[in-house]
Amino acid sequence: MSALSTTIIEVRTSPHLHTGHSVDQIMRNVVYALLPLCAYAIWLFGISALALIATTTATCVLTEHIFCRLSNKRTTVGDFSVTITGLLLGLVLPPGMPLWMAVVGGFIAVGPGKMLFGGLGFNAFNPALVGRAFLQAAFPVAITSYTPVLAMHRFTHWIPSSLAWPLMKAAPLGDWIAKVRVDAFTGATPLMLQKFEHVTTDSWTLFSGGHAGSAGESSAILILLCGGYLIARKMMDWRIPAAMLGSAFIAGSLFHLSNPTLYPSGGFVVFSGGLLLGAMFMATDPVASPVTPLGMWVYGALMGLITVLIRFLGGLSEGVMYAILLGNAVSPLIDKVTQPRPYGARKKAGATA
Amino acid sequence: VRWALEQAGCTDQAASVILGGPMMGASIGSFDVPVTKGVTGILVLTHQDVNGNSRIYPCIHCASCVNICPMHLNPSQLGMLGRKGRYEEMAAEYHLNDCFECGCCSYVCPSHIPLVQYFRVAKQMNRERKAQA
Repeated sequence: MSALSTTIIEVRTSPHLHTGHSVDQIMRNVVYALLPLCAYAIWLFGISALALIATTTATCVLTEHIFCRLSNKRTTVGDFSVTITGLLLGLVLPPGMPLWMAVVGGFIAVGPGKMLFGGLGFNAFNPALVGRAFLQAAFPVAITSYTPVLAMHRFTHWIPSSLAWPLMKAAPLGDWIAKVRVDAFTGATPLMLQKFEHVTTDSWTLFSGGHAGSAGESSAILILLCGGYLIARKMMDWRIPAAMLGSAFIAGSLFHLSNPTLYPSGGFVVFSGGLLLGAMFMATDPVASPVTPLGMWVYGALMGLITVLIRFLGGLSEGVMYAILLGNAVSPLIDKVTQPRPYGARKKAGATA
Repeated sequence: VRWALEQAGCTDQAASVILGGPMMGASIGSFDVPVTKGVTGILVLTHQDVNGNSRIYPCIHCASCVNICPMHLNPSQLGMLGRKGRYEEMAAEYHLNDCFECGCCSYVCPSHIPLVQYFRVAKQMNRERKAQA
């Protein structure tokens, strides 16, 4: 008798192997890519940014866990997607955001924004942006109160608004800003300066991040590096950020050409505000974006265009959030009309593919 | 096959034996299968190869399958329809019958969704329905 006589072999269907990539691996890598941004935000804004990011992340994870418990499902916290939501939400809020509002935002982001749709894979919108949109509607003052970077004592003293009690009026920031700021740094973001005072911030400041803004949107270089890491590992599709930044640049340049004194250049449009962070980490959220190659270009271009329109023609200084949410909303439609043409099939008359 | 494997020094670590390659080969249920002219190779997988991480997550629309599909189909959409048993819609609107079951979509899917397996079932069901009509 040979050794093979007693061996039991299993009948399986092909393919018999797998790449070994899994959802939780991809999500974990996105978290790694976000950590340098968090670290830089904490360096710029100090203890308040640290507390803000920790609060949003903890709230999001806890909310997902509780929702899974309530629906008698195995907890899905282990796939790390909710950690991304928490980190991103922390990064898109102003660092001086009162922490209790951050808790509300985290709950709204994951509860109604994700778990009510059915959890990972079924949310129609990027959860972090749902949370931010809710906060923007509910607390419009707090979410536009930006503080200067590199303030004195930022690692030992809180930004006074961080610790405000729920439903109480936050302490006015003006006095505090005047007290701690270094030289010419002000609390206005480059976009606000551009829109309301027509002062254009120079590009080096935009690149390195030495300007006010949401906690994570400051440094263009860092965002590009972290996004580049994900693209290089093929965990993110490069077409969406390319299309979004490209179309924002072109649209911004056209506005600039039509009236150079009123509108900033295309480069400023791309590197200021939350456009890079949004294009790299939020528009590319695979769940809420199209799957077809052509669809990705259309989706990205649409969001870039809307961003520029809101920034230049709308009342807000920043439009990335609404642009991405709108893009999320139409992405099933984009998928529908951009189905790929099968290999070898002829172009049908009037077909988009 | 038994003779061939014994000559090659195959031990009892074998968990699955495949005639053909790892992507499209057919796995066999007994060692007493003849090696015929059409057998291009015999692949033996160990338990380690077979028991990978196989938890199935929901589709996250990452588009890996759309990018990899050599026929330029949309396996993501086909998979969702297949799960719901909407086999006729898969053939009519999403070109199910252009799929030649290479298995690349199942290979790359980070959610471990058995895509090509869904498509085989769907094609079979469609064939049976057609035969009845």
